[in-house]
Amino acid sequence: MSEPTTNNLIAALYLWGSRIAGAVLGVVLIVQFYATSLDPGMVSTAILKQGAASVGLILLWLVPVLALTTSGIAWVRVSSRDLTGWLAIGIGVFLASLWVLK
Amino acid sequence: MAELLLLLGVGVVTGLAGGTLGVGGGFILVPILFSWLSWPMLAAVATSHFCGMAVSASATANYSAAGLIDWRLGIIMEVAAVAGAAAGAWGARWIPLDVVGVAFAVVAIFSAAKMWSARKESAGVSDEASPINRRSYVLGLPAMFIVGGMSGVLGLGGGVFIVPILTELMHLPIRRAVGTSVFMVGMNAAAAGIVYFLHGDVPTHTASVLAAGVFAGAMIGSGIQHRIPSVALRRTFAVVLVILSARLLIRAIGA
Repeated sequence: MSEPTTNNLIAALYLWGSRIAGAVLGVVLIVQFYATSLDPGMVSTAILKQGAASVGLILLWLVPVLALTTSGIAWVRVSSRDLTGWLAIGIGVFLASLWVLK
Repeated sequence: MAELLLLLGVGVVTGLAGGTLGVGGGFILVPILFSWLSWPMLAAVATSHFCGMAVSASATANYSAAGLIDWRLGIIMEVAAVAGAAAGAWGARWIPLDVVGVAFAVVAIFSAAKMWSARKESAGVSDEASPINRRSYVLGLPAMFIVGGMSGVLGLGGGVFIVPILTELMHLPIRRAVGTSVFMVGMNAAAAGIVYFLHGDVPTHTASVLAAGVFAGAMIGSGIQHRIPSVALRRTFAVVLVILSARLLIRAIGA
C-alpha cells in the first residue's frame, strides 16, 4: 500500500463514517419526533427515546476513534519509522480508553 | 414538538457556522442553551461536545473531498492539544479561570487584528499550501498545547483557537486551516464528550436532536464554504474571535 493510498484511507473512513452517522442520526431524529406522539409516562417510550439517542451519539464518537486507529495501522504498515501512524493509533487508543477509564 | 423543532433549528445554525469556519460551535451553542434555554451549564457544555463531534463527522468528509485537510499536520498537532487538554482539565481546580480568560482574550484580540488586516497577497490568504518548516512546528506545538489547556479549563472545543494558530504560526492557508481544524475539533470533542456521556451528564434525547441539526447544518456549511472568498472567511473569523474575547472579558469583569 503506497503512502498516498494510506492518506486517502482516512479520508475514505471519514466519508463512510459520515454517511452512516448521518443516516443513523436521521433515523434517530424521526424516532424522537415520533416519540412525542406517544404517552410520555410509558416505560417503552422512555426506552425508545433514550435508546435511539444513545445509539446516535455513540456512533458520532466512534467515527474519529475508528478512523484514526484504522488509518494509523495502515500508515504504520507503509513505514514503521513514520511517526504519524503511531500517533494516529495512540490518539485513537487514548480516545477508546476513555470509555474504559471514565 | 415545538421544543424539538427549536433545538433542530439551533443545531442547523450552529452546524452552518461550524462547517464554514472550522469550529465545533460551542461558542454559539453553550450561551444559547445556558442563557436562553436555561439548561444547566454542565448539560450545555456536555451537549456542545457532541455537537462538535457532529460538525467534525459531517464536515470532515466534504473538506477531505476538496483536499483541504492536512491529515499529518492535524494528527501531530493533536498530540500536543490532547496533552494540553488533559493537563488543563487536571489543573482546572487550581487555575484561576478569569485570569486565564483575560490572558486568552488579549491574545485572541491580537490574532483577530492580524487575521483582519492580512493582505490578499500574503501566503495566509492564498489557498495554495506551502511546506511547513521546523520553526513552525517549534512554535506551533507549544501553542497547541496551551490552546488544549485553555480549552480544557474553559470548556470550549478549541476550533476558535486552532484556526488562528494554523494560519498565523503554521502559515497554513485559511481554507486549509479551517479544514484541518474541523478534523482536529472532532478528536478534542470525542475526548471530552465521552467522559461527560459516561458520567450521565448528556441529556441524550435533546442532545441527539441538536446533533442531527448540527450534522445537517455542517454538511451545508462545509459544502458552500468554497464560495466564500478567503478574505471574507478570515474577517468573519476575526469577528468571531472579538466576540469570544468580549465574552471572556465580560465574564472576568463580572466575577
